[in-house]
Amino acid sequence: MIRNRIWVPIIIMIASFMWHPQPADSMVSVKAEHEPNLIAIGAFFNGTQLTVSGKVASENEVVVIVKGKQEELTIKKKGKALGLLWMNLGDVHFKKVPNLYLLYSSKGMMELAASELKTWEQLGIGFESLKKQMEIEAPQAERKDLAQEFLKLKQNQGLYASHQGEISFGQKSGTEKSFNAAVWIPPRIPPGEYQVQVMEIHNGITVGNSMDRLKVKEQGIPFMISSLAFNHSLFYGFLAVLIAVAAGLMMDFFFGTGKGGAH
Amino acid sequence: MFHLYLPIAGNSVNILLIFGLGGLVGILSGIFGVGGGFLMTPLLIMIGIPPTVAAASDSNQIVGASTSGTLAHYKMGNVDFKMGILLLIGGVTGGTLGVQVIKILRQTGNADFLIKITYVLMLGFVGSYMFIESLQALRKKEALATAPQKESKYAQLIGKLPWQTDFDKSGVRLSVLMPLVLGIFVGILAAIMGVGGGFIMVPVMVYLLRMPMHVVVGTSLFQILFTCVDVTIMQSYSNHTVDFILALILLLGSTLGAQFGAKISKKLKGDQLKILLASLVLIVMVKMLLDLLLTPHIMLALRGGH
Repeated sequence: MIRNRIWVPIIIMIASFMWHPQPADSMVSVKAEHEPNLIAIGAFFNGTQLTVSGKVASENEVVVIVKGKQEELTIKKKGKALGLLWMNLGDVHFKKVPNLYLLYSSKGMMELAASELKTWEQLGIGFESLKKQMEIEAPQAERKDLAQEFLKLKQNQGLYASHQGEISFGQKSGTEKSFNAAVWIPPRIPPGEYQVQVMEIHNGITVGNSMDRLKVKEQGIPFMISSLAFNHSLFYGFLAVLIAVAAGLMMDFFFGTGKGGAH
Repeated sequence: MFHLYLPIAGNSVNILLIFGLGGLVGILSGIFGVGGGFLMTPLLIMIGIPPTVAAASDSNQIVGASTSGTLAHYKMGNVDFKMGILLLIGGVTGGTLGVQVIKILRQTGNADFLIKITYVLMLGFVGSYMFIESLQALRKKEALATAPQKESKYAQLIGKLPWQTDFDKSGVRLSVLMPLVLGIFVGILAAIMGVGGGFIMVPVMVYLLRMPMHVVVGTSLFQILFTCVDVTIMQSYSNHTVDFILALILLLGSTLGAQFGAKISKKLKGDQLKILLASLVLIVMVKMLLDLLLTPHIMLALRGGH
């Protein structure tokens, strides 16, 4: 019994040495904010701009990442049948992929990361780290290509983006300078909660970090229609049919020929 | 400018583009009596609508277009309700059976491959046959030599079937079994191929039921109307994939287009209509073949769609 009790604090001590999530010793909180805090998806929503701005030490660089929750996706894989015809050949499951990943940086990523590329990948910065993090249910040999194709698909949808060298700096004042990132939020963004992360980089090391939340919500007509479609689906179906039939009748009334028609 | 957000598709679209697309498909639907899903669904996917939403919202739109088209054709005396209802009963039965068949097919693997190849071959065969047949008919008419036609074996065979009845609008006398059985056949195929069936139904009515081309177009639209009402309600209820805003913009275009289409159809002769439809079928076939042969841009695709 006594021996067991002695082990407990020792284990806790060892565990606390092993647990350091990020190089947190010298990490400061970056002064950053984003505008707007809430993105409303209304009837005329067609994507919008999110402005992320703040101040960092004048010799440092900045990385901004807007990221959504991790999800699982099942996607069809294309391949050649009989060595000739392209078609969908089975499903591939992707796990641990964020539903949104928008990266903006003040310099090219390779240049910024310098010799710390490995650490960056561990911290989840950049597309390379996404590729490493995602789990793909497929033979080992195919995974690399599939990860690449997955990024391509998401980039085509505008849900993943990497804009390097697209954060601008303002005038220096004392030891600080202001930064400004114009993050394009695509119209395809699913409603939900997102993370806005700002990192201050010095020689490849993250020296400052700030994390904030961004809400995306449907409003007005889109909200009404979504809730009708999901909460009263049978009624919604009948209504859709009724309105379609009514539109057909109306067009016939206004533009149709009379009985017997011309001819 | 001119953008609307689609809540179910989760994306925004240009209103004018969608309206124009609806109009184009409505015209085709009014002329040929096809739903136009073969054209609309891939185009919607191309502009960023998820495949499942594209297919479901398209069927909602077809409800409007075929209401408009059926009415226009009805006024011209082109809808054979008796035939249409029998085909419809067969079609619904066949569709239900087809869904089961495809489940079994999928378990054997490689089903998609078989389906695509069968579809391409069938479109190729039907399109070529219609094209050649109507071309010959057009030429013959100019020569105007109509020898007394010998009854073919097919005509003799279907003449022996029980429950013969008159279909006044179509001007044919057939067994009730014919439209029922052919309806089941088309329903099964449509379910397996994942298409509305207009492309298969129209040639079946022309060649196997021997209905006049104009009545075929009207009756096909009447039938498509009911099929798509069913699909729209089922898709809304079980999959939540009908985007009403998308369907509404498409509708405005397609119901208008269907009226013009019906007028154009009236101005064309039966054989001219057939040859145009045959060309359309062949174009769709070539497009599908190209999809199969050309290397895709991305090796992954979202699920759903045709």
